[in-house]
Amino acid sequence: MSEDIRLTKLQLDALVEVGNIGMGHAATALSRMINKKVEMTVPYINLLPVERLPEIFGNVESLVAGVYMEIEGDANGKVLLLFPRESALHLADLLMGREIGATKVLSEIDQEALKEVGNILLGNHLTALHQFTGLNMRQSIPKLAFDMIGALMDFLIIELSKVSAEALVIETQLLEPTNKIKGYFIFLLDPDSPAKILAALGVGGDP
Amino acid sequence: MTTETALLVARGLGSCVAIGLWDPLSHAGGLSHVLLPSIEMSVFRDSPHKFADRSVPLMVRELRRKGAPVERLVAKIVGGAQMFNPKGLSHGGVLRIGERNVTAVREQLAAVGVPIVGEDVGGTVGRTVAFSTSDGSMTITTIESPPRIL
Repeated sequence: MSEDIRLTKLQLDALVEVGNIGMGHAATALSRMINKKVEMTVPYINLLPVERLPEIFGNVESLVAGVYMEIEGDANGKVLLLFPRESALHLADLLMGREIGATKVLSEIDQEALKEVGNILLGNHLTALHQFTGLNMRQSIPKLAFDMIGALMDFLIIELSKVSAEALVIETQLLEPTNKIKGYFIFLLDPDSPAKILAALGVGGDP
Repeated sequence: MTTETALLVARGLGSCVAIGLWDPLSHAGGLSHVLLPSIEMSVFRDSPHKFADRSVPLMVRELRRKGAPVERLVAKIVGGAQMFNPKGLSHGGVLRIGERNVTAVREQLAAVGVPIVGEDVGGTVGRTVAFSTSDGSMTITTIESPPRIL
């Protein structure tokens, strides 16, 4: 039942490029939503042991707002959009038109606004992916939780550990420089999905 | 697993369950951090303490070797939360793993006859646990309430 993920350099580059295009669209959409400049890093693709997943963010007890969404269709996966505590509060302020720093605790409406950010980021990402690859993917409704990062991520590790010892993680950082709002967009592809995306890109096949 | 006075810690538990076993007489104790009910459910099997069905018997055996027979052991269990609401998700079942972990841990402890003398399980909040082998106490920290001692 184990499915090892083996990819060539070319294939990894292709996935990064797809992530780059998807995130570019997503960042533009976020920029329009908050009417601020949004920068992004080049997606960082990492094939790492499933159990080390939370460590990519350092301290497992760091407080974050996490928006979780599932992707289904021609390729499957899960997305976790993480905002460190301060960033989540500041982003809520921006979205709700309040002074930065006004929010100390996320209200129901703030939470809905952050979920909407998740919706729009992933929606734009998937639309770009579709234009680029022809693959059709649907996104679930977003779910939000605010807690320790380790606690938010352990079910993902559990789920992944059932099918693969390694996780293919595509991580992109978003940054709104004026207020130093940071977000981490984490794309976890199901083990059989990289092959489907690569085939659609014309770089499929075993290494 | 230790007979020395120690503070054993499991940080950032969501759906995972921490099992603390302790012998009040010798003060030998152990804490494991369980991910899944059974090792059969996982593809990586090199860490038996990540699975309820392996971790409980293994801890019992190791504590017996350290002079703490199973008859004297007591257990405290913490964790098994559901961090995101699964409603409306087609794969929402993956979010309910916490509940299944708690059930599996209870079954495993019952099978070896170790009573659960304290628990803080379920809910929707993450937990950090510090287990003291000097007095068998568990201190539970969450973002929502002040530390709680079990």
